[in-house]
Amino acid sequence: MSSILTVCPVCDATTKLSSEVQPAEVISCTDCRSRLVIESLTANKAVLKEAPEVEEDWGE
Amino acid sequence: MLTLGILHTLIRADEKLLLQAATRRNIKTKLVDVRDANFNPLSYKPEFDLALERCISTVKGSYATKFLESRGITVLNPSTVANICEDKFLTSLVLQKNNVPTPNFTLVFSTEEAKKASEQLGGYPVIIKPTLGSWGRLLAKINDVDSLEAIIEHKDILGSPQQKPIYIQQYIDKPGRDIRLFVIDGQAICAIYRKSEHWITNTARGGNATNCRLNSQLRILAKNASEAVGGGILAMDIFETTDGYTVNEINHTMEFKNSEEPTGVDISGTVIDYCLEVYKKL
Repeated sequence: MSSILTVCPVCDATTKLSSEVQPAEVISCTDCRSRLVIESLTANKAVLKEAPEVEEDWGE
Repeated sequence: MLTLGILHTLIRADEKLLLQAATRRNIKTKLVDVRDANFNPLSYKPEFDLALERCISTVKGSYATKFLESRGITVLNPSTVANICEDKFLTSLVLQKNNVPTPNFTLVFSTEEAKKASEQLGGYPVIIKPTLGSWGRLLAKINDVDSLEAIIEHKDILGSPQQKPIYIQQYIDKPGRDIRLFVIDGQAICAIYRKSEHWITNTARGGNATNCRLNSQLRILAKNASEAVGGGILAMDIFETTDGYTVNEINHTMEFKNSEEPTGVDISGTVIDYCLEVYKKL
């Protein structure tokens, strides 16, 4: 399976993403464990940002 | 051929499982991030036939559902179901009205009434929870009148308008676990025990999930509670008491990623199958 290399915005570590990721998907940095979200995604490039804090109306 | 719109904000593991289940069934999906949507009725053109509402934000999911319904699109769950399930007071009212066992409860707006209501519910401890909320957040087990006064003062001063109604529920002494019952169209499909030494047993708070075998009482409870709130795709939180099962809450955008493995049930696939079934009846 191919993968996408990108950089964690928190710790600057290179993070490898599966090619099956989706925009807006929540992931964890394999190095610093920060919760991240995929802000934008093209065929071979992904931009990550820190996932937002839990809001009052979040849930099931 | 169905194109299924999946309304979302963040994509969790649950949404990934749903997408994979749709792919396995050759069902086309269209991801709709409602944070980027422009719900202008004069210009909006849906690119799907039926929508599955999976927003992590209850408010955004609710508005998206109502908008799409206004355009004639069927959304699962419908707004009529979501409106009840997203509000713990409304859920309790509907369950009680339909004779579905549920812990005793009340709603008040002042400390003095809260004191009287707590006695009326059998005395301390009682539970105070936000009418809108999830994952066990901001639940308070009130052991005495001092705690009651403190919690209500904090809600009054620090809380949003949504925190002003004081929903009080009878405390149920659970056997270190509760049951999460997955129900689709009135049919119980599987259940897990959520075990925790803490009185809050949500898996979001660290509760441990193991399989719970379905029995006839759970199946009947599932059917009755589902009918009470309007059906659809539901996850019910059930307490075991000496008098039998009682329904604590019902979730309308259920999380299930930790439940497929212990139950061995393809929950995501069953959800997608239900979407297809509803679509075929449109």
